[in-house]
Amino acid sequence: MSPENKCEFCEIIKSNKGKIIFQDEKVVAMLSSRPCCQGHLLVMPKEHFAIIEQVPDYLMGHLSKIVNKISMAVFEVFQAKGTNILIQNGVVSGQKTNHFMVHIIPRKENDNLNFQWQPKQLNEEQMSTIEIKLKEESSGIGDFEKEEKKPVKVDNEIQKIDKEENYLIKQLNRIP
Amino acid sequence: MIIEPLNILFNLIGNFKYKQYLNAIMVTEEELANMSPEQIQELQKQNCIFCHIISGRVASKKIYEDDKVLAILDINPSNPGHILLLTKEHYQIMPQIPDDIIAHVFMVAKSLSHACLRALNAEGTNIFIANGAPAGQKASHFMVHIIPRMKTDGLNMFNLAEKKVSDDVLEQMRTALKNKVNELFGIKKREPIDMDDKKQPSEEKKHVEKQKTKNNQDKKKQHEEKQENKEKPNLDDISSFLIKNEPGK
Repeated sequence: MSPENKCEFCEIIKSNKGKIIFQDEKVVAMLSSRPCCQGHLLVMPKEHFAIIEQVPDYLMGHLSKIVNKISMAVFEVFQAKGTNILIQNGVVSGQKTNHFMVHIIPRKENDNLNFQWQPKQLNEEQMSTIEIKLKEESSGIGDFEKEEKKPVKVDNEIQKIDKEENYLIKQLNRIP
Repeated sequence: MIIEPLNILFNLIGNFKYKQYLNAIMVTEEELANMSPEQIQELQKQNCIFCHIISGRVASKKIYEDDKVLAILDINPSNPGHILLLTKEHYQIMPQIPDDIIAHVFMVAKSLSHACLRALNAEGTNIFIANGAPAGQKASHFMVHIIPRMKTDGLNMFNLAEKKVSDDVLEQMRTALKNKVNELFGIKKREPIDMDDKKQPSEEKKHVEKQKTKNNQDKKKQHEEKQENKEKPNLDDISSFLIKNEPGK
């Protein structure tokens, strides 16, 4: 059994039975059936990924655009005064399903939700060691995966050849 | 008991330092009313501590920087390694941000979350955005929180509660949202899935509809025939025109 077969969200995507509010070929957005508040939305890739690290960069970019658009709609439809966007990555961080998703949570004043944290006190040395470690690991950031567009490339090559041939034929025609 | 007054004192010093930036750009309400939107935006930038961090006037522990975003360590972290990912341009909330920048922000956030896992041996990460004061936003500069998580760190607020909601309520919300989202994405036609959900029309209506569709089909056929008729003479014209204009043959 592959993980996709057991995943409830893959099933919803296949059967089209969930409270889907938007979908394109890669991404689907739906209302949560077990919401933490009114209008709790989930946006996820159609393909099955367990954690964010498996999601390709270009898909992450595409997903974020849709999250942004839908969060705009949330402001108007639910008269929300704010939104929280949350990604839980790993069981420790509160992830309950093995399908990667982004939560959009509409917020109002006095809605009994609280995402505030108590700041922890770290001394200068601790902060510096964390800084160095993180800097090392994030030095490679910036080279993002791009979506492969093979068919387009092939087309371009053919066009180029066509142009060259045309050019050659013109040259031939010019010779008296 | 001694600590509290000390804290207040430190806060005062901090505010005083910050006011040095503010003094030069304090504006009265009258002036504010007369300012153009661009000028107000400029003022917001000048009053934003994170814009000062980005420009380098306030020191910070930088993790990653490129032309669009800057990632720094939070000085009041929820967990060791709490990263703030800021856009270099001053935006207050996410809906103001253009598509290409938001895509870039999320791609960097993903990479930073990966870096957290490897560098700090975290067992998970939370990526968190607060838009608006009711959502817990404190600074007027848009930022993404990337928080490395451990089992025993006590940050339980990201474990979302699960409530039960009736199917009718969900369906109501779905139709309302779907219309708005379609509007935002510029989709006008309803998807075929919706048609199946609708109650089937009664037989009389069906009959009327059939007739209508028949009429429509007839009209379509007529239209197509007309188009064909139009095209045919055109082709002949073209061929004759071509023959005439070739003097060699």
